[in-house]
Amino acid sequence: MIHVDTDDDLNKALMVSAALHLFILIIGIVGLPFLKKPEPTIIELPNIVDVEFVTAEETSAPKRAPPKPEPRKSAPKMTAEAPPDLSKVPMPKVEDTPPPEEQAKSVPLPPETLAKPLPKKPKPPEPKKELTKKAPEPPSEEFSSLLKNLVEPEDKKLPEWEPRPREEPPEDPAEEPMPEAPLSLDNRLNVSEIDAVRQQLAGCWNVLSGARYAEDLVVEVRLYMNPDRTVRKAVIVDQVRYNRDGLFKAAADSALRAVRMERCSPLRLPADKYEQWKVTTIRFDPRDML
Amino acid sequence: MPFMFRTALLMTLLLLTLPFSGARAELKFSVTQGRSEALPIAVQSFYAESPGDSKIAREIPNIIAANLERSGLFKPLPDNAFIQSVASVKQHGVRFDEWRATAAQALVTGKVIAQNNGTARVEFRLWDIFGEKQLTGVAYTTTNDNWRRIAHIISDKIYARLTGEDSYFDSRIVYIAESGPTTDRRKRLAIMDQDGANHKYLTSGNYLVLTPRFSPTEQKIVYMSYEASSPRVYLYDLTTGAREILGDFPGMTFAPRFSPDGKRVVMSQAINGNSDLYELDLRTRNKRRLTTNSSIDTAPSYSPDGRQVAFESDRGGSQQLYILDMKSGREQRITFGKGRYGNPVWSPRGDLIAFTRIYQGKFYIGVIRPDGSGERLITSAYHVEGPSWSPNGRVLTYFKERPSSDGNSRVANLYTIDITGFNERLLPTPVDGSDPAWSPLN
Repeated sequence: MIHVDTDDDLNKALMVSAALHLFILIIGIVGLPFLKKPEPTIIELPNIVDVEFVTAEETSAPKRAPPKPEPRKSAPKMTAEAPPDLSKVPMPKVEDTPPPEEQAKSVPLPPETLAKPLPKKPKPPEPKKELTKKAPEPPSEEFSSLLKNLVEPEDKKLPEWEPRPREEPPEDPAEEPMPEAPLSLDNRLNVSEIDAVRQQLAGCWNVLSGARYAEDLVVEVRLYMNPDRTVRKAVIVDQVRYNRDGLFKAAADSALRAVRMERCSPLRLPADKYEQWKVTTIRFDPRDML
Repeated sequence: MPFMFRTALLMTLLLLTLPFSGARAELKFSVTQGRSEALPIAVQSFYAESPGDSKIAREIPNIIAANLERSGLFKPLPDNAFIQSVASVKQHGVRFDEWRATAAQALVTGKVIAQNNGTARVEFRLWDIFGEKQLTGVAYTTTNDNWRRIAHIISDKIYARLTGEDSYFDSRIVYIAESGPTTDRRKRLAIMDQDGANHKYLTSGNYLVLTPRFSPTEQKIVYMSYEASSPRVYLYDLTTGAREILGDFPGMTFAPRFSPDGKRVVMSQAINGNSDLYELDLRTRNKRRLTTNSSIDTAPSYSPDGRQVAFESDRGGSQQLYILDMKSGREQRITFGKGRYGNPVWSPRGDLIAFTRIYQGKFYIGVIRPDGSGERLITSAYHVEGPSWSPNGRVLTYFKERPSSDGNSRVANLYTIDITGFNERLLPTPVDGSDPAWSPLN
């Protein structure tokens, strides 16, 4: 006769199950971001203690002695005679130099001469305006050409020598392409709803042109949203880089300003899909602009 | 195991699995388009602890605002747009909702406090209006008459914090001040702050001076002078006013350029009709030859790490730009365009080389990457030449010339431009100017 101790078996099974559940829980805490407490952005309190002091020795002592006009008190090393006293030399006549032709601002065009008015032709009937989706505003001249080039370079042979690689900043593990939100099959946001928010943020996000390594300044911002579509809290995802990289910090601050700006608040999100966007991560990527 | 304990353990395990049963949705998307415009910033007058400080308390913010505006990256708002007063900020702190109403995105406030020993303490704070927090705050103490420099230093701090880049406001420009008709042109060495203030002449104008260059490490310049019968290179110490002769260099047309460590200079010199590059050790005065070519090699400029030298040469049949590797001696051509390329100047950032190009009858200033890619011509004129970089490698200064209206003379002016090719500005000088050279940060 075989005796089975069912209580022991059950206990063993429970312990194994508990161990497995604990293991999954640990994986979840480490692997699932929403279970992690978001790290807050650094807040510097406006307190006199935060003001760093520069001592008088650092700022007042190296005050530049003004370059001495000739003649000088100490004899110069050269053997030529001392230059004349400038105070006796008449100052050159300052001509009223006309403003240069080329200025930063555009030169006004000459007034158009009015042609003799032509006889009026009958107006053709206006075509019926169709209600179309408003196209995005064409980019300004400065936006569409962030780097000016007066003359397009001709086709030329590239140097044979392998160019010296420029130093790349360390790769950010968060630089993997982010999956875009899927097309709506149920209550999720659709492409046009997301495009509406993109367009809105495009009007608020300011990109510093000409910055070095600008193409590497991709910033992810996590937003915790209120039901009224305003931002309750905005957090930079890569806090490590924010704290050690001044360029990234400036780019991240620009992204934070974009989501806090009045014309981007509230965000154009569908109010009835709050559960889908109450936590939103936006990736600000300037590469297409450069 | 007792039944109740087992049940409790089961329930606990069940509860632990609940968060995994329906993962919270997170919306993710990218924004790849934005704007590129000047950042609106409010620079408020500083609070003056005593009436005697009121002039400085007004002037320092004015200089800060002018510096930031001139960079093209900031748009200081006018005072009359401000809602909260200086006294209110001092008493109640920054009311961020009132500043948001002005459309400013950043705010600068400050305070001036006279000390007993003839010095002044100047404090400033930079605020993030939307984030409602202080970004940086620094206090400086200096002599009362050094307030302009404090304004430039504060401008540098603000610029660096908001752009993430090094700045350039606490620096100077040395240049050749020109006056008189073409047949009797008077040229004097002159120096001024980068905003045109504190202008001073360094030479009398009785002899020709050319191409001043700033040391990257000290307050010293080299320049060419024809006060002797042949061109000589002088080393001028701006802190003491002392001058010394570096040497006689017959056949030299440009002053040498300093190495990044300030210990050597690189130059071109024509000997027996052949122009080659040479490097001179300033301590030992030993000279070594860098190129041996029957062509004209001239206008050398070090890279920021000192390992390479950019120069112009006509060895390929036309005047083009080349890079010399100082270790291997290898020379590589980087430009292949039509026209003539000359006067390369390596950016302190290392990412670009500025140059002059003559193409289809016009002069251009351009920039190109050291590997020869990304050439852009950013300004042009009847005659434009002599580019020099700001300390942060973001701005170029140069001079433009054109015939005067009566045809008897030339009009030469200094300009600055951003590396994007925008924000070209006239740099005001008392007389005409040419050959500017930008100092490192003071």
